[in-house]
Amino acid sequence: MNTSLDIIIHGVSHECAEASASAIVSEIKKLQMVIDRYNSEAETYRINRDAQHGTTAVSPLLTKYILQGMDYFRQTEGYFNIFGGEIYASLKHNNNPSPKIVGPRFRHPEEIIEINHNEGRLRFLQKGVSLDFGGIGKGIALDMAAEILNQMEIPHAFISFGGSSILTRGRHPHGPYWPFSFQDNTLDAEVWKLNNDAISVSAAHSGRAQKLHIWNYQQSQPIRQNIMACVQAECAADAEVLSTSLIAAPLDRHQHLTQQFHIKQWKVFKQKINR
Amino acid sequence: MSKQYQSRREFLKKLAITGSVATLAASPWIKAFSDNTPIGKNPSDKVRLAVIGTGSRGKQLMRYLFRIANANNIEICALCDVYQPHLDKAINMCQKENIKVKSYNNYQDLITKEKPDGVIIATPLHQHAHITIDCLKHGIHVFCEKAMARTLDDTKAMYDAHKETGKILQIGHQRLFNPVYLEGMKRIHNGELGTIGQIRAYWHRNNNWRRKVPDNTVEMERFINWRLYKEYSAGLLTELLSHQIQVANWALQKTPVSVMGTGSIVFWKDGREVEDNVALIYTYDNGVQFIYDSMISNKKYGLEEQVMGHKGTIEFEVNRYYTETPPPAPGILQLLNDIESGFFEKVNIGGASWIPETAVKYQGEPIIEDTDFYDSALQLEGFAQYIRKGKAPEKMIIEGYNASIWTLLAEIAIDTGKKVALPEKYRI
Repeated sequence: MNTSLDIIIHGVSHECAEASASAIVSEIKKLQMVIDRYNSEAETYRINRDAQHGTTAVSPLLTKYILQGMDYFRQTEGYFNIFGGEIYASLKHNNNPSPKIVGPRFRHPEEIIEINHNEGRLRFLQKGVSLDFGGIGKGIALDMAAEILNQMEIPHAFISFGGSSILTRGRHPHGPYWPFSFQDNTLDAEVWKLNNDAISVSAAHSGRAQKLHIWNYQQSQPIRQNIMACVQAECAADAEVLSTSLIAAPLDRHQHLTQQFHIKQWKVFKQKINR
Repeated sequence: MSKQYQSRREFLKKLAITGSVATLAASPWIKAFSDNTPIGKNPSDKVRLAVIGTGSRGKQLMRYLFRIANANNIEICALCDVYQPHLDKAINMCQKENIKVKSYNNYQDLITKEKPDGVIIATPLHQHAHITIDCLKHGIHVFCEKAMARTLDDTKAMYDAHKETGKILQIGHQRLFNPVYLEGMKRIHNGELGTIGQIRAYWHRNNNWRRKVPDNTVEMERFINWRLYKEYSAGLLTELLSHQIQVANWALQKTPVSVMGTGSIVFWKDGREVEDNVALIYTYDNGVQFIYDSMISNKKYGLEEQVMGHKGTIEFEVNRYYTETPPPAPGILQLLNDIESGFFEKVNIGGASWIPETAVKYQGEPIIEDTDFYDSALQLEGFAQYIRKGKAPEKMIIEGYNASIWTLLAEIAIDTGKKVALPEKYRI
């Protein structure tokens, strides 16, 4: 996931905590080998390379994540889109990408990707289609982590992917919940109470270089507003998808989008830009 | 010396910050060095030192002596060199510092006429043994540059002379006085790096290692470029490895059980006899290896000693410590601190990172913050301090002895192509 992963576990023996953390890290590494678009040994990299040119084999696991992405596309009116990898790749290098890069144009994902479930094969139906799980990968990983924690009967945990994707179980050792707040000191009064929850924080500007990285497909341009969205939900993937969609969509669509998900709370803030 | 020289006083302050008790326990020469008894200014407290060997290293040591002489009540009373141009330059240096010195071409004349408290020997390697032994037998304390001697027998003879006379024999392993190494060794010995699996070290340069010869006679070539000829030097081994095997032994608090290696002349085929590249593997009784290489036709990697444990790594030359588990993000650190302190406070962790970001490469952390020390000067301050006390901790000479012995055993390993162990007669 190319970011730091911190795992805090309490309420069990040291050995049990170590075993749980190891299992989580191991599963995330396996997931990475499926959904990483930059690693030439990962399945998504291979699919992006080959599926433009004809049908290619796809694993059941990756098929599941693609179908999940298609569902999220529909659920968010297209504001969440796993098929525009080339655009995201170009944004990594330039906040003003070439006008030639517009991404695939479609209303329904079936217009751009054909999946043969029985044979375990797929192909892209349009030029410019490129899978990118960057907006959901950490959510998928945290949902997997939640399953492991349940299986191993871990009562209390706090897991963070670089501060932007968080999963909690149980409570803080010295309080009834995990008190979550923001690095941005203008949001100091915000304290969200987390128990068995997932949090996702998305912003239009990312990293030290303040790169733009969320694309408005309807206007074919990156989102430039200084806004940040935070979503609290039970499902980490839902939280990831919705927080991204809230950045990509205009304000008047926010209420509608949030009604499409089972969430506990959400908020959109002005993003503080460090220059 | 562009940096501001920091003396023993600043050094001791630094040690206080970096955990003096454990450091001093593991490094008895520092414990003796750190005795803060004020140094008297009257003539009876003066330490009279002579320098034997005034080539490049000898002159460098003299520069350090100039810096520390006043604060440590040191008098540079005499200089000696068989090569007059070197001696003249050294005399000139003293004159510029308004220091009156006697000069000699014969060290025996110097020690009988001057009777210094101590001598600093910076001659070519093959001259170390007999000068050291003569000085010790005349009741003079000796600081001798590393490596100790050209042969195993000479090395042992120097050690034996020290034991017989009871006079100080300090070998110029300046890292023993370097605050970075002292703090790093403290962490290693306290177990902070976990179980040490390997130590790697290397020293790479890209030059021919030659000095200009005033005429083209064979005699002067061998006299000036003594480092290149096996009669006088083991080349990279005695000049460079000797420092780094000392670091490995110090880190492991052991000496090796065997060494094997290879070496050859690959690039500088100019008539020299010593190898221009070497590779060695030392093994210790617990299975740990010290892996070493040195070359003088590429300098990209410079020099380093890397101590690798299952919990962390130390790179001494660049003053870096790396944990195997990099520290968590600031918000997580706050949460951990709160948990440990029994606090229930909000965790300021939320921030955005949606697309894969370039992984932040973990850069480690400095072992100590302020490295403005000249360890070569500190070791000379130590020498003066030990002379004033009349003795030096035995552990220090043992470090020097073992480093020199295992340096010379590496030469045998290369020459024979065999795995070499320590002959019992050289065990101390």
